[in-house]
Amino acid sequence: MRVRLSFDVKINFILGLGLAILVAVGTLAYRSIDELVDASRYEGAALIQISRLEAFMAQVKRIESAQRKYLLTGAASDLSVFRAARLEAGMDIRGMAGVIETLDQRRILRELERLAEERMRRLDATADVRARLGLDAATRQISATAAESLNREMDSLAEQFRARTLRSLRVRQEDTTLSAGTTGFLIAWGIVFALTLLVWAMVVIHRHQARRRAAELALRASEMQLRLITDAVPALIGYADREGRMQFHNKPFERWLARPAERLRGFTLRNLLGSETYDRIEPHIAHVLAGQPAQFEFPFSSDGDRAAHFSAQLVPREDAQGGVIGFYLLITDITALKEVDRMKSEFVSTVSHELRTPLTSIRGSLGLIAAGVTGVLPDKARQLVAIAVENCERLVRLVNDILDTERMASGKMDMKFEVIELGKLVERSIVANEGFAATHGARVGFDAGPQQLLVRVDQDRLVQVVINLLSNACKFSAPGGRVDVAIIRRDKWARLSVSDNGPGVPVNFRAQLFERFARSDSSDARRAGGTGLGLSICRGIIERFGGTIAFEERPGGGSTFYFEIPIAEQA
Amino acid sequence: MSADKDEELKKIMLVEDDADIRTVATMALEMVGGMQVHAFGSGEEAIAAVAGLAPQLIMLDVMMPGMNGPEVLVRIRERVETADIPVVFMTAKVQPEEVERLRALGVLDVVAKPFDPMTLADTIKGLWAKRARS
Repeated sequence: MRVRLSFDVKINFILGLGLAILVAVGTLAYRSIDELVDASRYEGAALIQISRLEAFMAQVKRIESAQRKYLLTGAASDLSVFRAARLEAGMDIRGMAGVIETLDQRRILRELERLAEERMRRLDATADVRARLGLDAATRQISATAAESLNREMDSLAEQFRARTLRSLRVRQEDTTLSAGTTGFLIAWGIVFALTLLVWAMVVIHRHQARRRAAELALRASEMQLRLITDAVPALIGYADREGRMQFHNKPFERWLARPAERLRGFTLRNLLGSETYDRIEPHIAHVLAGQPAQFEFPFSSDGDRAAHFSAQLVPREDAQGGVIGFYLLITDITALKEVDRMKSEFVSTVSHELRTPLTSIRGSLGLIAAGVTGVLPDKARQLVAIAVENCERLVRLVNDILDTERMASGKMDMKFEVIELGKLVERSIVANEGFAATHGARVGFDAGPQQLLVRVDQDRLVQVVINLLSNACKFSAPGGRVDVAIIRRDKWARLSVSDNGPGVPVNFRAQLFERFARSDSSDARRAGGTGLGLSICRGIIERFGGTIAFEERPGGGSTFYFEIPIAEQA
Repeated sequence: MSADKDEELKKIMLVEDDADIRTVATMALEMVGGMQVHAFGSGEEAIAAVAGLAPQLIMLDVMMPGMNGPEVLVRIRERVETADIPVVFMTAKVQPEEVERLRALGVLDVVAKPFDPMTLADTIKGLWAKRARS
């Protein structure tokens, strides 16, 4: 697998490597210069050594010469010259010791010093003989000593010292030359390598810049495409900062407000929409600036003539720290939808009314005939009229349910909320359903629970839900079956359950049980004669109460339908 | 004309433009409830006859061609001799806000269509009794 390194990794690697090379080359150069300085210092010291040695040897010669002169003249002044030269020779020998480096040289020097001292001692002894016994005695003393051989020995040592010092100097110079050559070689390669890195860095930077230019072009193209899309969308799309100033908008925004782009960007929503509209939507803007999405509808007339309705969605935009820095606006014109909605409501209402009128005649006529008000019917006729009555009732329920469903969908189902005792409402519902339960031969049992639970609901609508659940349970119970109604408290929720011992809900139907026009394909359900809207309406009502409705299988067969609604504070 | 509150409900004026409903309601009230029903097919006919007929209670359809139920109610309330006759509206528009609007006009109650013919008379008698108690 080929790993593609990022620009930052590459450039940091190159710079790091280049820096390491520079440090290495600098260190080498420093060491090389240091060695050259040392070599130069050593060369100077070596030359000083040789020079001092030669000076010492010359001094010995001068002492010998001064002694000989004194031996010949016997003058006190010559003796003084001899003795001064003698003292000076001893100092020079000591001064030389400071620049001696090798043991061998030290040995030679010590030997030379010893010989020199021996020589001086002999010179002193001869001078002393001259002073005490005269020239002849001194001449005999000179011949009795091996002065010549001592001088040769000293010369030989001096030559050895000079030769070794010069050889050591040559070796040091050769080492320094070699080291300087190696350093030069490394510095040259370091520079070559550094230049290679420099070229590499330039290539990397060039490629990076090329990629960035390509990315910028792609981004620009993408922005252009996004701009085309947002301009083509039949909705107003915009972005405003925390102060409500427009920072982005699409073309429809310009058309909506009849303003060119330069008179939109940077302008506040209050300025663009006017104070009246802005005051109406300001709570929603405060909501989105608090970090929560907002959705609302508002009327607005951009030309001061035709009032239109708009739906707005505001979505907060957050920075890396989670603070809201602005919000996106999506505004759509829903005037036509509103009109369609109104027409639909009107249509449903009209159709419902127009259906109810003939149903009133049919239901009334059949009811009177079935009850025998108009005379006793033959058995077969009574059976047929009963079928007609039952289906007429079903049609009435369907019309009612359609009306409820439409009102719920359009949000027009008004609720009269009040705090009531749930148990009493359930008792009332059971009583109202007694006739229906008897028709299906179902017995209803009720467990109100140990405590009274207060709930805040619309009584009529909750009765509608309870009766719906009860009638369903009665319909689907086996003949002579039992329906159990129970209220229990679950934390802050009141739960009402209605259980039957019927066939249960088919598995493939459970997912859409609470959907509109949900009908099981089972023959039992068909025979039960539901409208397919009852549970959907129940769910809508219970959700309006802030609760939930659900279903579960009953152990041993049957179903339990239940809802949970919040327990109200004591009224 | 004011009805005696302790009086049994016997005489009803029914105003309904739909002839079939008129027939069914009349039969339900007469044959099940044992009342005497005087049925009219329009508001205008009912207004013309109400003073002379002096019914104890008027059942009034809301949506009728020509003069609708609320308009008929206004006309009935305008005349001294009929102003106190209790009125029950019948309507197929059963939305809660519509029912509330009709009740606010000062009627006894609103009966929703379609009604149960076997319980209609009891419903009306119940309203009558409730009014008597109040």
